[in-house]
Amino acid sequence: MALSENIDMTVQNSAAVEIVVIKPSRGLVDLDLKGLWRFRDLLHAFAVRDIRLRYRQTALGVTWVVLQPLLSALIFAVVFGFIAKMPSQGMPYFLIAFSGMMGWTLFQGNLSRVTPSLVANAGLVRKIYFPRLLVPLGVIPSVLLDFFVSLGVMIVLLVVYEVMPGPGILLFPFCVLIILLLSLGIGLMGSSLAVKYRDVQHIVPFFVQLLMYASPVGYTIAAVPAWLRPYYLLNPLAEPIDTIRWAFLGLGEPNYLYLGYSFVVSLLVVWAGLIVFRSCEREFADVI
Amino acid sequence: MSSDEIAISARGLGKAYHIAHQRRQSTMTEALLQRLKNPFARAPSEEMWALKDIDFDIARGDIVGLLGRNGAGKSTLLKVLSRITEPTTGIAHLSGRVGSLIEVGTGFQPELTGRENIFLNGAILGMRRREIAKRFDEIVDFSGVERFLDTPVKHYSSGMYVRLAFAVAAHLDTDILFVDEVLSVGDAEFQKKSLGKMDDVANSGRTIIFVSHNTTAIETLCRRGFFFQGGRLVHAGPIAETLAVYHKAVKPALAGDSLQPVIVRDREHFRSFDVVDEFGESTRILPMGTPLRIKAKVEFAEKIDYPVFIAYVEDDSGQVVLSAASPKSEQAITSLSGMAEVGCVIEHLPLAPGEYSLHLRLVQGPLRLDETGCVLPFVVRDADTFKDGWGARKGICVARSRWKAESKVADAVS
Repeated sequence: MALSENIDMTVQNSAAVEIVVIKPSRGLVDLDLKGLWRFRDLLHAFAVRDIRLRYRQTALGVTWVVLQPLLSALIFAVVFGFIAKMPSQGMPYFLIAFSGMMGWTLFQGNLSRVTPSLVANAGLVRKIYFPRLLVPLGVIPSVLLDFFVSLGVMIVLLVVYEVMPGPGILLFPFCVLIILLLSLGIGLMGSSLAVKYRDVQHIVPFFVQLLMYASPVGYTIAAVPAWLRPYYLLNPLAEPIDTIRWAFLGLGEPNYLYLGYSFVVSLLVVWAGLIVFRSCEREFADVI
Repeated sequence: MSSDEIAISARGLGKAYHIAHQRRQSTMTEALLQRLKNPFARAPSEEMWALKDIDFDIARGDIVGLLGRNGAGKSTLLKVLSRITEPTTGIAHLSGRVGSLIEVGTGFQPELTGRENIFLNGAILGMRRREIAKRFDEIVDFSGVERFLDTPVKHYSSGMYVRLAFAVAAHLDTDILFVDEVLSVGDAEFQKKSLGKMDDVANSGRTIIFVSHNTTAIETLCRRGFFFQGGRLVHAGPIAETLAVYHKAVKPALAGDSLQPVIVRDREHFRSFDVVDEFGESTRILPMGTPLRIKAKVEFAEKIDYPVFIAYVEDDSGQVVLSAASPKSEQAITSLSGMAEVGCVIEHLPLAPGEYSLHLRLVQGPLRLDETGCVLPFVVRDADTFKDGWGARKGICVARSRWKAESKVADAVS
């Protein structure tokens, strides 16, 4: 009996042998989901590394993650609320600024960490094989952790200011998803280009800066002149950022048409990002 | 050989690199400007085949050593087979789980502790988390750093660093293993230990492809040898036979007038290095006892403070017989940036006539930043440098000596 069991084992083993075929890739690329799945523990390892480094190296640690959005929100509240006297519909301007900051920080944080990720891991890319997509994907958990910290701050602020979010809060995760997809898609393109052209890392922050003023971060969409709004909302970030504010504070009314538009754009951007990344991938080790 | 006994097969495998004749634009602004100036121009480039028409079959459990000079295609083949880079032509089949033991310490994070690095590095090498957890004690045991497991590895000595990195890599559980120059690390004792570990690995029935400039290690570990020349596989056979072909083919390269600096490819900082004579011309033959002059080109994308360069000279068995490091204090190199040329003179190279090889390493504190990866072979030839009429004598090193002798006239007792 024991013998036949043994034989069964070997047969199973040899059936499970994985065959790797190496040949030049042509035409459109696939995502290699199988490879990603096989290396899923590496995603975990990258995430753990990023989070540990981020929270260990800085003297202030978590405090910094809490302080950063608070300080920026404070500055925005002073500039837009106090000096420019933007409309606030009676809501404390600090809350308006902070709720805008949440969506924006997620976008900017993810983009600014995904873009340089490949170059930062050049040593690995040059010397060892693993699905390269894991490098940019691996930074997302640490960005999300930052985001959850600021979500915690938001909840504290809501309690302090005695604001109760309505059922609109259900749209919040959807907006987060749109913002994540947008930043990931652009970041994927940026990171592939940064391998070839190192100045991409300096160009991206500049455009991100411009984009911030074109997004309802320090002000609400209500402050944008009505005739300009159809064009303003072409920025796919605008509606989700404002909808997050609405979800928490109940300010204004989400424009579902534009929210849907943002979602479609975000899917397209991620798709384009993946295509660019995968088709540049075959050259990474040669040029990085 | 039936098909399920073959672990690796390659048919017509080739890899071409395009070498641009003008400087490649490395910023997007430059690239765009160039495009605007000459919208239809294509950058003139030349195809360089680092690997061409490679056919072979490697049986399951076979241990193959790759031989060849720098740039012959050994490393490119490993890169293609380990999927770091794509081939330009041809196809290869690998059956079984593939792992690489390339460059000890790749992916180590100085800020993380030893324990954290074991898991990170294991995952990078393709190990599952529970697999690493299962072999964790074994890895720690082999590395001998258990007391410092929870210390960030930036505080490790370079020896500990290397031992831990090798320990992780050596415990990879794969059917096919690629090994590239990993044995030339650590002190003599650890080298012996790691060579022993490689022996275990070799006898465990795995298929191994092995690249090293240490021909002794190749001879002891490998059963078959592939000899590469100019990107082509020119000889495949039993290891002793291949080594003989290799030695015969490689030796004349030391002489001749077309000597050039060794170009270092795919490294972060090193670009080329060379052994030169007193006029700065490349040379590969040094008269015994004369200075060894080394020149290297290094590039730094960012300014680097207090880099230390180390030159290693190995004998033909791969034993490091001499090392020289740039100073740590006082005359230390304070900082370098951009393209830099490093020069080193080892006065009166004290080595007996024979064949040697040179390689360089760049470190900063306990961190190893880069190494040349390839070696530069040179010969010390017999010469009467010390003007004592002898030239070579017994031993592995030579030194100028002064002798004095006089007859002590015994005090005549008168």
